[in-house]
Amino acid sequence: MTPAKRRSVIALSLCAAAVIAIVVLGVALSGNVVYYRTVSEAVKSRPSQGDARFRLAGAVVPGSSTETRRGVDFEVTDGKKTVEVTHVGDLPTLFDDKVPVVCEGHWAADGSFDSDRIMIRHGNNYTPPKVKFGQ
Amino acid sequence: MSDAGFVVAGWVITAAVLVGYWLSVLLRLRRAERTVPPAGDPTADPTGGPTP
Amino acid sequence: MSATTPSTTERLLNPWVRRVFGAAALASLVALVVVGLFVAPPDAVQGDAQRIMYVHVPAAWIAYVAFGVTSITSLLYLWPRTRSLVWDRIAGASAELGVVFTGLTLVLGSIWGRPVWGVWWAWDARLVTTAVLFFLYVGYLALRRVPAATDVRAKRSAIAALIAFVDVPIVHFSVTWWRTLHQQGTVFNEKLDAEIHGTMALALWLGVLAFTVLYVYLLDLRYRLEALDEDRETRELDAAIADRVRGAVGVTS
Repeated sequence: MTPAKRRSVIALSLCAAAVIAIVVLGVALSGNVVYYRTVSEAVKSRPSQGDARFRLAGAVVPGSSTETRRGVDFEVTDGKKTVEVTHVGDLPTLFDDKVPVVCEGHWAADGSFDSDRIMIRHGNNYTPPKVKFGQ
Repeated sequence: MSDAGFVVAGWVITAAVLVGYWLSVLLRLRRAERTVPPAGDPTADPTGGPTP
Repeated sequence: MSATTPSTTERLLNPWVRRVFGAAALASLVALVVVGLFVAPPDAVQGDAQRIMYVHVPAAWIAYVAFGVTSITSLLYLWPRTRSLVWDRIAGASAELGVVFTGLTLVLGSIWGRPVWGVWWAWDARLVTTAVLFFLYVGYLALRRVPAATDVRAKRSAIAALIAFVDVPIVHFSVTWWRTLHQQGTVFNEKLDAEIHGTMALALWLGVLAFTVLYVYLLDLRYRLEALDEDRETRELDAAIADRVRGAVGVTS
Protein backbone atom coordinates (compact mmCIF):
# COMPACT_ATOMS: atom_id res chain seq x y z
CA MET A 1 0.00 0.00 0.00
CA THR A 2 1.33 3.44 -0.90
CA PRO A 3 1.70 6.00 1.93
CA ALA A 4 -1.08 8.10 0.43
CA LYS A 5 -3.42 5.12 0.26
CA ARG A 6 -2.56 4.08 3.80
CA ARG A 7 -3.27 7.61 5.05
CA SER A 8 -6.56 7.57 3.21
CA VAL A 9 -7.59 4.25 4.81
CA ILE A 10 -6.65 5.46 8.30
CA ALA A 11 -8.50 8.75 7.84
CA LEU A 12 -11.63 7.07 6.46
CA SER A 13 -11.72 4.51 9.29
CA LEU A 14 -11.40 7.35 11.80
CA CYS A 15 -14.36 9.06 10.10
CA ALA A 16 -16.36 5.82 10.32
CA ALA A 17 -15.41 5.37 14.01
CA ALA A 18 -16.55 8.93 14.74
CA VAL A 19 -19.89 8.30 13.00
CA ILE A 20 -20.40 5.07 14.98
CA ALA A 21 -19.58 6.86 18.25
CA ILE A 22 -22.09 9.61 17.44
CA VAL A 23 -24.83 7.08 16.61
CA VAL A 24 -24.16 5.16 19.86
CA LEU A 25 -24.29 8.41 21.85
CA GLY A 26 -27.51 9.42 20.09
CA VAL A 27 -29.14 6.10 21.02
CA ALA A 28 -27.92 6.49 24.61
CA LEU A 29 -29.38 9.99 24.80
CA SER A 30 -32.74 9.15 23.24
CA GLY A 31 -34.00 7.59 26.48
CA ASN A 32 -32.52 10.32 28.66
CA VAL A 33 -33.66 13.59 27.10
CA VAL A 34 -35.79 13.93 30.22
CA TYR A 35 -33.10 12.95 32.71
CA TYR A 36 -35.34 12.67 35.77
CA ARG A 37 -38.96 12.89 36.96
CA THR A 38 -40.11 15.07 39.81
CA VAL A 39 -41.74 13.34 42.76
CA SER A 40 -45.24 14.44 41.64
CA GLU A 41 -44.69 13.18 38.08
CA ALA A 42 -43.32 9.90 39.38
CA VAL A 43 -46.26 9.35 41.73
CA LYS A 44 -48.71 10.11 38.92
CA SER A 45 -47.11 7.59 36.55
CA ARG A 46 -46.67 4.90 39.24
CA PRO A 47 -49.50 2.62 38.01
CA SER A 48 -48.04 2.35 34.50
CA GLN A 49 -44.42 2.26 35.62
CA GLY A 50 -44.40 -1.18 37.30
CA ASP A 51 -40.92 -1.95 38.53
CA ALA A 52 -39.14 -0.46 35.50
CA ARG A 53 -36.14 1.76 36.31
CA PHE A 54 -36.27 5.55 36.20
CA ARG A 55 -34.74 8.55 37.95
CA LEU A 56 -36.56 10.37 40.72
CA ALA A 57 -35.64 13.94 41.66
CA GLY A 58 -36.51 15.91 44.77
CA ALA A 59 -35.06 17.53 47.85
CA VAL A 60 -34.13 15.52 50.93
CA VAL A 61 -36.75 16.14 53.65
CA PRO A 62 -34.88 17.60 56.67
CA GLY A 63 -34.46 15.10 59.49
CA SER A 64 -35.89 12.22 57.45
CA SER A 65 -32.67 10.35 56.72
CA THR A 66 -31.53 7.43 58.85
CA GLU A 67 -28.44 5.41 58.09
CA THR A 68 -28.99 1.71 57.51
CA ARG A 69 -26.53 -1.15 57.35
CA ARG A 70 -26.24 -1.01 53.56
CA GLY A 71 -27.17 2.60 52.80
CA VAL A 72 -29.68 5.16 53.96
CA ASP A 73 -33.45 5.59 54.24
CA PHE A 74 -34.86 9.06 53.64
CA GLU A 75 -37.73 11.01 52.09
CA VAL A 76 -37.68 13.18 48.97
CA THR A 77 -40.17 15.89 48.21
CA ASP A 78 -40.90 18.36 45.44
CA GLY A 79 -43.03 20.48 47.75
CA LYS A 80 -46.28 18.77 46.69
CA LYS A 81 -45.67 15.05 47.02
CA THR A 82 -43.26 13.12 49.23
CA VAL A 83 -41.87 9.63 48.68
CA GLU A 84 -39.89 7.33 50.96
CA VAL A 85 -36.61 6.17 49.48
CA THR A 86 -34.66 3.07 50.49
CA HIS A 87 -31.15 3.57 49.21
CA VAL A 88 -28.61 0.75 49.05
CA GLY A 89 -25.10 1.79 48.06
CA ASP A 90 -22.67 4.68 48.40
CA LEU A 91 -23.74 8.21 49.29
CA PRO A 92 -22.30 11.31 47.60
CA THR A 93 -20.33 13.43 50.08
CA LEU A 94 -22.66 16.40 49.56
CA PHE A 95 -25.78 14.39 50.56
CA ASP A 96 -27.57 16.36 53.27
CA ASP A 97 -30.93 17.78 54.40
CA LYS A 98 -32.65 19.96 51.77
CA VAL A 99 -30.10 19.01 49.09
CA PRO A 100 -31.68 18.31 45.67
CA VAL A 101 -30.94 14.71 44.67
CA VAL A 102 -31.60 12.39 41.74
CA CYS A 103 -32.15 8.74 42.73
CA GLU A 104 -31.86 5.88 40.25
CA GLY A 105 -34.00 2.84 40.89
CA HIS A 106 -37.58 1.54 40.78
CA TRP A 107 -40.82 1.43 42.77
CA ALA A 108 -40.96 -1.16 45.54
CA ALA A 109 -44.10 -3.20 46.28
CA ASP A 110 -44.86 -1.17 49.42
CA GLY A 111 -44.99 2.13 47.54
CA SER A 112 -41.53 3.33 48.49
CA PHE A 113 -38.67 3.81 46.03
CA ASP A 114 -35.72 1.40 45.91
CA SER A 115 -32.63 3.38 44.90
CA ASP A 116 -29.15 2.08 44.15
CA ARG A 117 -27.53 5.29 42.91
CA ILE A 118 -27.81 8.85 44.18
CA MET A 119 -26.56 11.93 42.38
CA ILE A 120 -26.52 15.48 43.72
CA ARG A 121 -28.27 17.99 41.51
CA HIS A 122 -26.13 21.07 41.84
CA GLY A 123 -27.35 24.60 41.17
CA ASN A 124 -25.59 27.35 39.25
CA ASN A 125 -24.93 29.71 42.14
CA TYR A 126 -21.44 30.31 43.42
CA THR A 127 -21.22 31.86 46.86
CA PRO A 128 -18.69 31.62 49.67
CA PRO A 129 -19.90 30.27 53.04
CA LYS A 130 -21.95 32.54 55.30
CA VAL A 131 -22.59 35.15 52.63
CA LYS A 132 -26.22 34.57 51.73
CA PHE A 133 -28.02 36.95 49.41
CA GLY A 134 -31.37 38.31 50.50
CA GLN A 135 -30.94 37.40 54.14
CA MET B 1 -9.67 11.39 47.61
CA SER B 2 -10.46 14.73 49.22
CA ASP B 3 -11.82 17.69 47.27
CA ALA B 4 -8.32 19.15 47.11
CA GLY B 5 -7.16 16.00 45.33
CA PHE B 6 -9.75 16.50 42.58
CA VAL B 7 -8.83 20.18 42.25
CA VAL B 8 -5.11 19.43 41.94
CA ALA B 9 -5.84 16.61 39.46
CA GLY B 10 -8.02 18.93 37.36
CA TRP B 11 -5.52 21.78 37.22
CA VAL B 12 -2.54 19.48 36.62
CA ILE B 13 -4.39 17.82 33.72
CA THR B 14 -5.25 21.27 32.33
CA ALA B 15 -1.59 22.35 32.48
CA ALA B 16 -0.47 19.05 30.94
CA VAL B 17 -2.96 19.30 28.06
CA LEU B 18 -2.16 22.95 27.27
CA VAL B 19 1.63 22.57 27.48
CA GLY B 20 1.49 19.16 25.78
CA TYR B 21 -0.54 20.51 22.88
CA TRP B 22 1.72 23.54 22.52
CA LEU B 23 4.81 21.29 22.39
CA SER B 24 3.13 18.93 19.93
CA VAL B 25 2.48 21.82 17.52
CA LEU B 26 6.08 23.02 17.89
CA LEU B 27 7.37 19.49 17.26
CA ARG B 28 5.16 18.95 14.22
CA LEU B 29 6.20 22.39 12.91
CA ARG B 30 9.88 21.51 13.21
CA ARG B 31 9.29 18.23 11.37
CA ALA B 32 7.26 19.95 8.65
CA GLU B 33 9.91 22.64 8.18
CA ARG B 34 12.53 19.98 7.46
CA THR B 35 10.55 18.70 4.45
CA VAL B 36 10.31 22.13 2.82
CA PRO B 37 12.47 22.14 -0.33
CA PRO B 38 14.76 25.15 -0.79
CA ALA B 39 12.95 27.82 -2.78
CA GLY B 40 13.40 27.70 -6.56
CA ASP B 41 14.99 24.27 -6.57
CA PRO B 42 12.53 21.71 -8.00
CA THR B 43 15.08 18.88 -7.77
CA ALA B 44 14.89 19.15 -3.99
CA ASP B 45 11.44 17.53 -4.11
CA PRO B 46 11.79 14.40 -1.93
CA THR B 47 9.70 12.31 -4.33
CA GLY B 48 11.90 13.21 -7.30
CA GLY B 49 9.40 15.63 -8.83
CA PRO B 50 7.86 15.47 -12.29
CA THR B 51 10.29 14.78 -15.10
CA PRO B 52 9.71 16.10 -18.59
CA MET C 1 1.64 22.34 -11.43
CA SER C 2 0.95 23.58 -7.97
CA ALA C 3 -2.49 24.83 -6.99
CA THR C 4 -1.20 26.94 -4.13
CA THR C 5 0.98 29.96 -3.94
CA PRO C 6 4.11 29.43 -1.83
CA SER C 7 2.82 29.73 1.71
CA THR C 8 5.63 28.34 3.79
CA THR C 9 6.43 31.62 5.50
CA GLU C 10 2.84 32.58 6.24
CA ARG C 11 1.65 33.44 9.71
CA LEU C 12 -1.59 35.03 10.90
CA LEU C 13 0.03 37.53 13.27
CA ASN C 14 3.09 39.63 12.65
CA PRO C 15 6.03 38.81 14.95
CA TRP C 16 5.44 41.78 17.22
CA VAL C 17 1.74 41.03 17.83
CA ARG C 18 2.57 37.35 18.28
CA ARG C 19 5.05 38.11 21.06
CA VAL C 20 2.50 40.33 22.82
CA PHE C 21 -0.10 37.54 22.71
CA GLY C 22 2.43 34.98 23.97
CA ALA C 23 3.42 37.17 26.92
CA ALA C 24 -0.20 38.08 27.70
CA ALA C 25 -1.23 34.40 27.64
CA LEU C 26 1.53 33.48 30.07
CA ALA C 27 0.82 36.42 32.41
CA SER C 28 -2.95 35.86 32.50
CA LEU C 29 -2.54 32.11 33.07
CA VAL C 30 -0.27 32.79 36.05
CA ALA C 31 -2.83 35.30 37.38
CA LEU C 32 -5.57 32.66 36.89
CA VAL C 33 -3.62 30.15 39.00
CA VAL C 34 -3.18 32.71 41.78
CA VAL C 35 -6.79 33.94 41.83
CA GLY C 36 -8.43 30.59 41.07
CA LEU C 37 -6.47 28.44 43.50
CA PHE C 38 -5.61 30.87 46.30
CA VAL C 39 -7.55 34.17 46.27
CA ALA C 40 -11.10 33.00 45.47
CA PRO C 41 -12.98 31.64 48.52
CA PRO C 42 -14.22 28.04 48.58
CA ASP C 43 -17.88 27.59 47.62
CA ALA C 44 -20.51 27.27 50.37
CA VAL C 45 -21.82 23.96 49.01
CA GLN C 46 -19.09 22.54 46.79
CA GLY C 47 -16.08 23.58 48.85
CA ASP C 48 -12.82 23.52 46.93
CA ALA C 49 -14.22 21.41 44.07
CA GLN C 50 -15.63 24.70 42.75
CA ARG C 51 -12.09 25.68 41.71
CA ILE C 52 -12.27 23.20 38.82
CA MET C 53 -14.93 25.50 37.30
CA TYR C 54 -12.30 28.21 36.75
CA VAL C 55 -10.74 26.03 34.04
CA HIS C 56 -13.78 23.95 32.99
CA VAL C 57 -15.93 26.94 31.96
CA PRO C 58 -13.13 28.74 30.02
CA ALA C 59 -12.24 25.48 28.24
CA ALA C 60 -15.89 25.07 27.17
CA TRP C 61 -15.94 28.73 26.07
CA ILE C 62 -12.87 28.23 23.85
CA ALA C 63 -14.42 25.09 22.36
CA TYR C 64 -17.40 27.24 21.29
CA VAL C 65 -15.12 30.01 20.00
CA ALA C 66 -12.87 27.60 18.09
CA PHE C 67 -15.77 25.85 16.35
CA GLY C 68 -17.38 29.24 15.70
CA VAL C 69 -14.19 30.42 13.97
CA THR C 70 -14.09 27.17 11.97
CA SER C 71 -17.68 27.78 10.81
CA ILE C 72 -17.16 31.42 9.85
CA THR C 73 -13.94 30.71 7.94
CA SER C 74 -15.60 27.70 6.25
CA LEU C 75 -18.41 30.00 5.09
CA LEU C 76 -15.84 32.52 3.84
CA TYR C 77 -14.17 29.73 1.88
CA LEU C 78 -17.45 28.54 0.36
CA TRP C 79 -18.55 32.08 -0.59
CA PRO C 80 -17.03 32.53 -4.10
CA ARG C 81 -16.08 36.19 -3.60
CA THR C 82 -14.01 35.52 -0.51
CA ARG C 83 -12.71 32.06 -1.45
CA SER C 84 -9.14 31.66 -0.26
CA LEU C 85 -7.14 28.76 1.14
CA VAL C 86 -6.24 31.05 4.05
CA TRP C 87 -9.82 30.52 5.36
CA ASP C 88 -9.54 26.77 4.88
CA ARG C 89 -6.31 26.65 6.89
CA ILE C 90 -7.73 28.73 9.75
CA ALA C 91 -10.77 26.42 9.79
CA GLY C 92 -8.58 23.31 10.09
CA ALA C 93 -6.26 24.83 12.69
CA SER C 94 -9.14 26.14 14.81
CA ALA C 95 -11.04 22.84 14.68
CA GLU C 96 -8.04 20.98 16.10
CA LEU C 97 -7.86 23.48 18.98
CA GLY C 98 -11.61 23.05 19.47
CA VAL C 99 -11.24 19.27 19.77
CA VAL C 100 -8.43 19.67 22.33
CA PHE C 101 -10.51 22.10 24.42
CA THR C 102 -13.71 20.02 24.11
CA GLY C 103 -11.77 17.00 25.36
CA LEU C 104 -10.39 19.07 28.22
CA THR C 105 -13.91 20.32 29.05
CA LEU C 106 -15.22 16.74 29.23
CA VAL C 107 -12.34 15.52 31.42
CA LEU C 108 -12.56 18.51 33.79
CA GLY C 109 -16.34 18.15 34.02
CA SER C 110 -15.89 14.52 34.96
CA ILE C 111 -13.33 15.35 37.66
CA TRP C 112 -15.70 18.01 39.04
CA GLY C 113 -18.73 15.71 38.84
CA ARG C 114 -17.24 12.96 41.00
CA PRO C 115 -17.02 15.02 44.25
CA VAL C 116 -20.07 17.24 43.59
CA TRP C 117 -22.63 15.01 41.83
CA GLY C 118 -21.16 11.79 43.17
CA VAL C 119 -20.62 10.32 39.67
CA TRP C 120 -17.93 10.66 36.98
CA TRP C 121 -20.46 10.68 34.16
CA ALA C 122 -24.21 11.08 33.63
CA TRP C 123 -26.09 10.26 30.45
CA ASP C 124 -27.83 13.63 30.41
CA ALA C 125 -28.38 15.85 27.39
CA ARG C 126 -25.54 18.33 28.11
CA LEU C 127 -22.87 15.68 28.62
CA VAL C 128 -23.92 13.48 25.71
CA THR C 129 -24.30 16.33 23.20
CA THR C 130 -20.84 17.58 24.25
CA ALA C 131 -19.37 14.12 23.63
CA VAL C 132 -21.14 14.14 20.24
CA LEU C 133 -19.51 17.52 19.53
CA PHE C 134 -16.09 16.01 20.27
CA PHE C 135 -16.63 13.14 17.85
CA LEU C 136 -18.16 15.36 15.15
CA TYR C 137 -14.98 17.42 14.96
CA VAL C 138 -12.70 14.36 15.31
CA GLY C 139 -14.54 13.17 12.19
CA TYR C 140 -14.01 16.58 10.57
CA LEU C 141 -10.25 16.43 11.27
CA ALA C 142 -10.12 12.87 9.89
CA LEU C 143 -11.95 14.03 6.75
CA ARG C 144 -9.31 16.74 6.27
CA ARG C 145 -6.67 14.01 6.21
CA VAL C 146 -8.29 12.05 3.38
CA PRO C 147 -5.91 12.84 0.50
CA ALA C 148 -7.46 14.93 -2.26
CA ALA C 149 -6.68 17.94 -4.40
CA THR C 150 -6.42 20.98 -2.14
CA ASP C 151 -9.54 22.75 -3.41
CA VAL C 152 -11.64 19.55 -3.32
CA ARG C 153 -10.59 18.88 0.23
CA ALA C 154 -11.15 22.47 1.30
CA LYS C 155 -14.67 22.50 -0.12
CA ARG C 156 -15.79 19.22 1.40
CA SER C 157 -14.20 20.13 4.76
CA ALA C 158 -16.05 23.46 4.78
CA ILE C 159 -19.40 21.73 4.19
CA ALA C 160 -18.64 19.16 6.92
CA ALA C 161 -17.68 21.98 9.32
CA LEU C 162 -21.02 23.71 8.82
CA ILE C 163 -22.91 20.47 9.42
CA ALA C 164 -20.90 19.76 12.61
CA PHE C 165 -21.57 23.27 13.97
CA VAL C 166 -25.31 22.50 14.23
CA ASP C 167 -24.45 20.71 17.49
CA VAL C 168 -22.92 23.80 19.14
CA PRO C 169 -26.21 25.62 19.89
CA ILE C 170 -27.74 22.26 20.86
CA VAL C 171 -24.97 21.78 23.45
CA HIS C 172 -25.35 25.33 24.74
CA PHE C 173 -29.13 25.30 25.10
CA SER C 174 -29.44 21.64 26.15
CA VAL C 175 -29.60 22.71 29.79
CA THR C 176 -32.57 25.02 29.15
CA TRP C 177 -34.36 22.92 26.51
CA TRP C 178 -34.24 19.64 28.39
CA ARG C 179 -34.02 18.40 31.93
CA THR C 180 -30.39 17.66 32.73
CA LEU C 181 -28.27 16.82 35.74
CA HIS C 182 -25.89 19.51 34.53
CA GLN C 183 -26.66 22.95 35.96
CA GLN C 184 -27.69 25.91 33.83
CA GLY C 185 -25.21 28.61 32.88
CA THR C 186 -24.01 31.16 35.40
CA VAL C 187 -21.87 33.57 33.38
CA PHE C 188 -23.54 32.94 30.02
CA ASN C 189 -27.01 32.85 31.57
CA GLU C 190 -29.74 34.46 29.45
CA LYS C 191 -32.01 35.27 32.39
CA LEU C 192 -29.14 36.62 34.52
CA ASP C 193 -30.76 35.08 37.59
CA ALA C 194 -27.71 33.20 38.86
CA GLU C 195 -25.76 34.64 41.72
CA ILE C 196 -22.02 34.56 41.87
CA HIS C 197 -19.64 36.04 44.39
CA GLY C 198 -17.35 38.85 43.14
CA THR C 199 -13.98 37.13 43.48
CA MET C 200 -15.37 33.90 42.01
CA ALA C 201 -16.71 35.84 39.03
CA LEU C 202 -13.29 37.48 38.67
CA ALA C 203 -11.62 34.06 38.57
CA LEU C 204 -14.07 32.84 35.92
CA TRP C 205 -13.62 35.93 33.73
CA LEU C 206 -9.85 35.77 34.17
CA GLY C 207 -9.99 32.16 32.98
CA VAL C 208 -12.04 33.16 29.94
CA LEU C 209 -9.57 35.95 29.12
CA ALA C 210 -6.45 33.79 29.64
CA PHE C 211 -7.80 30.93 27.52
CA THR C 212 -8.94 33.32 24.76
CA VAL C 213 -5.49 34.94 24.48
CA LEU C 214 -3.85 31.51 24.55
CA TYR C 215 -6.26 30.36 21.82
CA VAL C 216 -5.19 33.22 19.51
CA TYR C 217 -1.53 32.45 20.15
CA LEU C 218 -1.94 28.72 19.49
CA LEU C 219 -4.11 29.34 16.42
CA ASP C 220 -1.33 31.41 14.84
CA LEU C 221 1.18 28.63 15.55
CA ARG C 222 -1.12 25.87 14.31
CA TYR C 223 -1.97 27.86 11.16
CA ARG C 224 1.64 27.73 9.99
CA LEU C 225 1.65 23.95 10.45
CA GLU C 226 -1.51 23.73 8.35
CA ALA C 227 0.14 25.77 5.58
CA LEU C 228 3.33 23.67 5.62
CA ASP C 229 1.37 20.39 5.60
CA GLU C 230 -0.75 21.63 2.74
CA ASP C 231 2.35 22.48 0.68
CA ARG C 232 3.84 19.07 1.35
CA GLU C 233 0.62 17.28 0.38
CA THR C 234 0.38 19.30 -2.82
CA ARG C 235 3.97 18.38 -3.70
CA GLU C 236 3.32 14.70 -2.98
CA LEU C 237 0.10 14.70 -4.96
CA ASP C 238 1.80 16.39 -7.91
CA ALA C 239 4.59 13.83 -7.76
CA ALA C 240 2.11 10.94 -7.61
CA ILE C 241 0.22 12.28 -10.62
CA ALA C 242 3.48 12.74 -12.51
CA ASP C 243 4.41 9.14 -11.66
CA ARG C 244 1.11 7.85 -12.97
CA VAL C 245 1.37 9.91 -16.15
CA ARG C 246 4.85 8.52 -16.70
CA GLY C 247 3.52 4.98 -16.16
CA ALA C 248 0.68 5.47 -18.63
CA VAL C 249 3.04 6.87 -21.24
CA GLY C 250 5.30 3.86 -20.69
CA VAL C 251 2.42 1.41 -21.40
CA THR C 252 1.16 3.07 -24.56
CA SER C 253 4.53 3.65 -26.18
